[in-house]
Amino acid sequence: MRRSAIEDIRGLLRDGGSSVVDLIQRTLADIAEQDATLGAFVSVAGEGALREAEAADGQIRRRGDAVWAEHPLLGVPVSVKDLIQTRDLPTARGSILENRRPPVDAPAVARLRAAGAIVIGKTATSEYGWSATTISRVGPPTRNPWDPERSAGGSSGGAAAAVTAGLCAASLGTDGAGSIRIPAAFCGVVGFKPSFGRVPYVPPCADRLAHVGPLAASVGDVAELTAILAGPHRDDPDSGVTSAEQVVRSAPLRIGWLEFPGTSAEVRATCVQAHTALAAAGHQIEPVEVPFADPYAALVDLLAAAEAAGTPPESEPWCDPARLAVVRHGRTVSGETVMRAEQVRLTLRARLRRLMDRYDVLAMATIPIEPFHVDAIGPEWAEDPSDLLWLAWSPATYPFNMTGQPAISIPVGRTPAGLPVGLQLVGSVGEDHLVLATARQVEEQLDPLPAPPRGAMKG
Amino acid sequence: MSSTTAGQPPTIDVLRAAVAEILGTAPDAVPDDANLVRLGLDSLGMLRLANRVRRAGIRVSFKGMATEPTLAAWARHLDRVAGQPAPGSTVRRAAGATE
Repeated sequence: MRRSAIEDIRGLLRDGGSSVVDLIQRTLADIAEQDATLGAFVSVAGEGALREAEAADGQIRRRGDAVWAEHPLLGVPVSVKDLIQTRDLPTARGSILENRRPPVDAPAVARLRAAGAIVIGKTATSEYGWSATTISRVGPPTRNPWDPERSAGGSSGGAAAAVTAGLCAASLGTDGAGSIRIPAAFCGVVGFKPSFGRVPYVPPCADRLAHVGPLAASVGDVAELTAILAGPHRDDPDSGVTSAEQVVRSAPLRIGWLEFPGTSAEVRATCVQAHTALAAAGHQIEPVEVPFADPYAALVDLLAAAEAAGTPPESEPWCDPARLAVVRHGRTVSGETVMRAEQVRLTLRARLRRLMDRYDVLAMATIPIEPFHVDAIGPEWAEDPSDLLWLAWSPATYPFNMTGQPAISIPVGRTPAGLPVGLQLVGSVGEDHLVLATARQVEEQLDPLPAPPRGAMKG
Repeated sequence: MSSTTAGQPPTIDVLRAAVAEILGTAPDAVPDDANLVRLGLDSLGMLRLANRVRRAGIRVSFKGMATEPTLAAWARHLDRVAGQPAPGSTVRRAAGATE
């Protein structure tokens, strides 16, 4: 079973084995040493983080153990994806254009800080999070800690790589088509997209595909963070899903196993460990043909229309040329086309509701393929942005953005090339707890991944 | 850290086995004087080890381990602090924490 980094930190700080300052200093030193090669961070808190660490040590001295009841994440170094606003660190959103949003903490960041977490830095994303990589004009792409020639995935790729490399205990990411779960799977960490609206997304996205969620080393850490992040906020009118929170279902759960087209032999073979783990936890697993049509074309129209709406023509010289291919398509999308895409979304939601009458949880490989080259936006067949296939290689993630269902990716093993494979578990809207509980059971059955080979990152 | 007795510092081979477990490598691939960070041990891994040692009743500090991350230096550090049991550490607590 994977150990909780948050519990480790809390245990050591409570026990007097370290000061918060020592922990943060060491973490900053690790970032300084490793990140020039890894490319996970776009900014680092430095002195500000150390001042917060000193204040945290002061609280521990004054209040002793009582401080953790109010601040359960006291002294825990976390990173925040650079798409999410912070009051102190700059927010570039993967773009070299000026960000005119006010420098205040997004609600999710404010909640982490109120729980005592220390924001150690902002992590890399693609421009406005458009692609499932971290290629942008802000800095170099994030490398996969398991193989620096491969992509960490994205768009929360910096977040996943930072957790994998131990440069923070946890990270805040966003997921509009798979952007938490894809890098979590590629890098071998846990990434959770809660039900739509459970964690406030501010400012909200009109496409209503985007979610905020945590990435961490263990399911327990992700569950603890989700509890802290969740809850309505006035600035996100969609936030506030709380239904079914306490429904408890015990084994055997009915689990539908889906295999999406294009699944590689390596990924399929690694997933056998997931079948074994689910069965060992006492669940009934039934293979299911993917019971819905691929909604990719509708997703493309929705995302492209949103990209076009957010990209005035005069900004184009400063934009990522690959993203502009999507923007150009978006400018051709009519209102009629958007409504057709919304109809596809409604049909998909209804189809999945019917499916969830038969199954408590759906399980599948998070991504059917291994990580591709670090400089590419997808595998070879999806590399050309003008083909509009930039997310088509991840058919198991984006349907659940369209339905708003809770979905987690946990590491299940590694391919013969040593690359992590993620298992995705998906529940009904509002049943986040069931997804987390099932993920925890699977995690308990699996051997944790070892530390990634540091030598590979030394260049 | 199962072969550790409460209040007694773990031997260098017990530390080696614990590091090897985290790194997913064989114990003999972790030499006494190798820089463990260069072998792939990150701060959170060191923190986990410091926790385990403290639960076994040895008052080790994270900073002490992070300053010179080699098995040989850790063994010296543990020997130095072995005479100062952690406040509140008891045999029961140490036994309950073995993994």
